[in-house]
Amino acid sequence: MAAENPVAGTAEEVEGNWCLIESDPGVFTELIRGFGCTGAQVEEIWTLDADAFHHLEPIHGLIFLFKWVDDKPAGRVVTDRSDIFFARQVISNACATQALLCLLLNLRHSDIDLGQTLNGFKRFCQDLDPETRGHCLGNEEKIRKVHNSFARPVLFEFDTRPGSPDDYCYHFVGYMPIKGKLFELDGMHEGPIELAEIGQHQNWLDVVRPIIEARMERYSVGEIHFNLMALVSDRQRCYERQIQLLVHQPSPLSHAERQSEIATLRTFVKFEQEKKRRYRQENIRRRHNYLPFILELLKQLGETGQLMPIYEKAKQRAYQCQAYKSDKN
Amino acid sequence: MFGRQSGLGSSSNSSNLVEFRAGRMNMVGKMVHPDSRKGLVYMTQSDDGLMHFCWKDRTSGKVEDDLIVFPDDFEYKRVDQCKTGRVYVLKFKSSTRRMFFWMQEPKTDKDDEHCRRINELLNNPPSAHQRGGGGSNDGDLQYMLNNMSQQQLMQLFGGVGQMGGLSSLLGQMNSRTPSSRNTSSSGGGGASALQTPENVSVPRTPSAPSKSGSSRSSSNVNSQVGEGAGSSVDADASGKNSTTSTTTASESTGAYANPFQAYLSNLSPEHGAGRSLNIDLSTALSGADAINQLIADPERVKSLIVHLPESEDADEDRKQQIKDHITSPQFQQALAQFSNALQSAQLGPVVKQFELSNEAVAAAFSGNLEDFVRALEKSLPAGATMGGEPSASEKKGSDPETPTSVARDENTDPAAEKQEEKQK
Repeated sequence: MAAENPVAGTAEEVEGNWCLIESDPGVFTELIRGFGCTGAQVEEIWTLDADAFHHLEPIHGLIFLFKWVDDKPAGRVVTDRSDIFFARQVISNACATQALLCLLLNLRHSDIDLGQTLNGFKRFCQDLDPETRGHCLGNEEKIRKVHNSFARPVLFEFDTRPGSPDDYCYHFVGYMPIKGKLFELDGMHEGPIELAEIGQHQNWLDVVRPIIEARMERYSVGEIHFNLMALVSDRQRCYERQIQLLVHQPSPLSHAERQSEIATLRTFVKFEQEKKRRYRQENIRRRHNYLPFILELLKQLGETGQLMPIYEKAKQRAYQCQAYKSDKN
Repeated sequence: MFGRQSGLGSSSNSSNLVEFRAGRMNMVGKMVHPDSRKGLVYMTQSDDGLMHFCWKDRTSGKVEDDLIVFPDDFEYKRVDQCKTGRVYVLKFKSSTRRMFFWMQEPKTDKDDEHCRRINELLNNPPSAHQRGGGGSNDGDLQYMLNNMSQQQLMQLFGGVGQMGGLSSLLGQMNSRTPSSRNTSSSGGGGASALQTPENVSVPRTPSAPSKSGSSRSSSNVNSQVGEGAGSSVDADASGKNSTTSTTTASESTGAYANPFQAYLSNLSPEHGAGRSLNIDLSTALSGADAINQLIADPERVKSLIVHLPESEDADEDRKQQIKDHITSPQFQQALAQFSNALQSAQLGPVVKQFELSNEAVAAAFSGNLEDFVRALEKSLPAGATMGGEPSASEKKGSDPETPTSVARDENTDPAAEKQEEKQK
């Protein structure tokens, strides 16, 4: 349990407790909204190919998650850019929020409004060094509360050795273009890492693609699990904007083509609404105390004579898993 | 429920737990190509109790993929990135391997249901009778680096304005005709404010069953509209709220918004360690028969639903609500934690707060799940439920029959009779 609740050190006690949260695009999207930021969402990425990405653009940043810490920086570590917001990772459980904030607080895009809390935090940390910023984040009550409201259920592992928190925590690395250069934002390093120049008319995704692909290649060879997510503008808004344009602006498309486009976009809007509804539902469930329900359910199953068979089934399952695992080893 | 559509033909194997027409994607080195063959995704359970996830070529009848799947090893979900095609991915949790499938069912209306059913079966297989043998070991690790060609991508992930989509491949392998637009299921409701921790909706009644009648019987609860109403009413009766009892235990970890989590985070890991077998009830609650039997009874539905958060959609069918919660990953995790925590002998104090028999409480204190189960099977007279009827809980162990023999039709009260006569 100590592994799942790394609040052992007094430093962390003082800075408040941060829970592990799920690494899930729905969680991250709701997390951002919870901070008061509007206009952004997080999507999971399956392919880096340009055409697949196209309908998600503008892509403000990419988040690469993996369960391993890469020691060597892939480029020059920058320590002299005060105009780039960067915070060192001080609390491992806060790594997701940390990574998201590093991206968000470096963004200046009309689609995205950071909101009061984040703008306030940014101003507050303006002139501080990365390490101190990390500690400030640890102390930032409002942000911490929102983060913790997404706490991932912690399961006991009795048959494994107690591991370090890193065993359970994904490591997050952000990639984003800042003022014509591609940066890697990794809280485990001293500062942002400058990776490449982005040509004036170049799409930054074309520059980052080979870098991420190489990284994925390395990790897959080592059988290291990873995920890729993109920080994008609120999809629903984008589609609605496009619908408005089609409805109100002259267009080279024929009437029929326009209608068809609008119909498609409306479908996409529905997808997004459904997604939001699903995220909300997941959140409600995540925060719900199921204990009374569980006991009532078990009680009723007991009354109807169905509980013992279920228990027996679970016991079978446990034996099977145990046998399977020991076969594997 | 079994995903069989009309017209599937006699080739469908009726012993499959779920099946639907879907095509596959082939990995060739690092490239992913959509496989245009007509296929069938299905799941079965072999005699040894192991669950199989399979894909077969409908034309040749050959089963090309047959994976043995264990709970929590996989996730099956829709690929959001792909808008026009109905693409799903079987994600391997322990490796980077992915398998993609694209729906070939002509109608989209069961897509979600199929997806849900697959996840249910992946993680909550039906009962097994024998110990399983070793499972297949998906050793080869390929990672999903999609280097599809321009054309293939335009087919697959066609964005706005793109003609064609995966469905264009359906039955028309060579042409690139416009696909029919994927009609989605009806969209969700309007946007509602994000639930910040301060506004978290709480269970509608005090979690601990009230001994005396609580101010709200379960039948009133569902008439409440909106989450705000729920929270404020709870404050009144919060004295008996088990949430209170769990949070006192977890005062030092004010972090968790979920009281159960907070409580569990305070339990010590070493306690009860050395236990050889961890039995997880969530692996056996497949939701099919056992739950259906319960929710067939409206009284049981009432007693259960009071412990669930209010639904966003006031019209939502309560039975379905219960089922949805039970099959949700969040509930399953909670049940897994509960199983684990009980077996580690640390749930005694918590269980004691609920109106369970002494035997059940004792089993919780000693960490014996089997005894706990046995105690629940015999402790209550049939029909009595927790928190529903105050009289039932007080009558525990005694005659459960509630007096209904008041003769209402025949009013033999002379005074009343006189009244009636006067009114005539």
